[in-house]
Amino acid sequence: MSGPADGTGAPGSASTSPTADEGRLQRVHPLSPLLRGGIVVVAMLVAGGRQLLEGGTLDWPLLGVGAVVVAVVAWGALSWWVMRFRIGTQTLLIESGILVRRSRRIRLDRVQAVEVQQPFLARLLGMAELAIETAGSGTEATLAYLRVDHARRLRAELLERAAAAGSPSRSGAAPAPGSAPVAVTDGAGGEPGLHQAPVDPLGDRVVAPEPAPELLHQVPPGRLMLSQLVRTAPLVMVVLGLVGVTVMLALDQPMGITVLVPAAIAVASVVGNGFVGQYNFRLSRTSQRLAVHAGLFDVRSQSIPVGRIQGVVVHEPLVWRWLGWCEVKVTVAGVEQHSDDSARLTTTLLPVIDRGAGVRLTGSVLGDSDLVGAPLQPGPPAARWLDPLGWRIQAVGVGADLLATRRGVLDLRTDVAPRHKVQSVGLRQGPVQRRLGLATLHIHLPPGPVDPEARHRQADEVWALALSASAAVAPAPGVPGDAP
Amino acid sequence: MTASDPFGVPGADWSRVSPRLTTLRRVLLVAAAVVVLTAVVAVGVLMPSVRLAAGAVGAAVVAVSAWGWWFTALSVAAWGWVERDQDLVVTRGRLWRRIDVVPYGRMQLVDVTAGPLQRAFGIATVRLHTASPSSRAHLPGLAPRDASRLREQLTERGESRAAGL
Repeated sequence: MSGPADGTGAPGSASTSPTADEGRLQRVHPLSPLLRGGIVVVAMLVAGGRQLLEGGTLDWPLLGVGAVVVAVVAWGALSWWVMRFRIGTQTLLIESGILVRRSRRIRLDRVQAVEVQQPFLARLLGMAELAIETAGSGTEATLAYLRVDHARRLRAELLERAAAAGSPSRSGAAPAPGSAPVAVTDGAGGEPGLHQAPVDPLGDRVVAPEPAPELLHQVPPGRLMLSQLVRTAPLVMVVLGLVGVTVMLALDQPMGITVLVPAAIAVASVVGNGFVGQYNFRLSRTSQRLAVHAGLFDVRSQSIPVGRIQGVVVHEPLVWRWLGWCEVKVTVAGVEQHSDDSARLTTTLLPVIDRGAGVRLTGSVLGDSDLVGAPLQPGPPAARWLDPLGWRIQAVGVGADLLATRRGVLDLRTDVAPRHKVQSVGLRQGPVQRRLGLATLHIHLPPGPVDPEARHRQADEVWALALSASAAVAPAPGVPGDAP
Repeated sequence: MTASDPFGVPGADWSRVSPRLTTLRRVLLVAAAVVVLTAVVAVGVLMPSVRLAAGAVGAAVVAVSAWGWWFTALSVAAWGWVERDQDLVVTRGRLWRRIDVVPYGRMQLVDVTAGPLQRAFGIATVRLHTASPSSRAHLPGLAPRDASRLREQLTERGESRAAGL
């Protein structure tokens, strides 16, 4: 592109020049303003054109509209022109603004995830936007729009630099920039015009394009549809609805069925949302990241750094258990849980999978930690007085590096947290529990779907667990010999 | 205490919060009771027809306040903390007991707050924050000197044992 290629000098090594911002200034795709304000402009042009064709004349209001359109297009083009970004070794620089100049620097070591998203309109034109997530603030910046392959390349580059900029002390999966083979450029053949050069501007390191991700799992649409239908909540609604219909028919009041229509629509929309959002769900992995692609209309493409996963929850709704299915969700640091399904970021790792495969897959994803390695201990019989249905089901497992809890009468859930991710541990004991020698254990994790909790456990058991919880957080510098 | 306590920390005793917290809470309790009693007495004087009911309510308020006076001391005495090698253990609650174990390496932020009333009584509250909104450990009723000492100590230990997310 025509951006000035300044700042490419600075031959210092990356570690000694934290403020260095080598790299080219780039722009997003020229079609971006059209896509952004797109529909409005297109609609206006169509309206104007139709009137021109039908009536042969343009009246004044329409000319006014035309002027507005021209102004909007000009403004869009100008804002496209002034919006530039540059990927440095330590920071991502984004400049924008026509009247008020805005310049943002995002530290790459703070980047938690980079996503390629394709809203419907953009998808039609082969465009995508790049969302950059940082710890704490969620989506920090969006680069919209780019050609899909360009967006993918930028994502790979950003992620790689983020890994390089992050502290090398991050444990877990071995940092693999060195071990990654210098991969062949990806299939598209590359576009010399937009973004070439897999060579780092520093010249000392070859930016390997993301190695071809290995597909771990793909959800067939039929199974997805069925799984969404037989979740407990829609199923209960459907059963109630059928009962309602039968009653109405038995009473010879077929018109009464119309009462159920809104409920049916609600159920259909819940099921449909699940289906549309998770359609063609694919989970794949590269060395340190998981990638999720899903969606029928808006295709989501999300990348999850494995090291940032704080915990896993395996859901098994009632009917799913008979079918041997489960759903896997994760809590990822920096990704807040959103209440609605329109959330761009998902916490779903696998919307539906055979239980055994799901557990195996999740275990291997979490750095070979054995998810089922923590044998689940059932609760004490005394708990039956407080939880007559659930006490047999609920269980706690303490593994070498995992804590797991299971609970739920209708919908079984198993929450698993790596011990070194636990933020804090809480115990509760009410008066009745005290009489029975029981207590409730909570494992506190960053916000997300994973919420390990064990009700009505033997008090001394959970107390010992709580007291040993911090040992995994920071290895003791010596023997904990506490002086009196 | 530790003898009968099922949640005793081995090799350590709970540090307790200042009894000035009891005084503060009792003052608030009495103030509230006085306000309510004044209203009840006023009603009783102005409306002779409900005098009996007002008397009953007044008696109940007095009884509840007396129980509160007694219970405040117990509840304040239930607050406690232990600084261990790796973590801080905070306990609270008499009837519904609650214990939080917060590893130093997990503390994102430790703050000390003291409202005007607390300042008048010479106490402050220490709050611990981790990356999890569910861990809400805090300690009210510390002498300001203890509070800032605790904060310094926790921050220092947190830094030396900091663990990333």
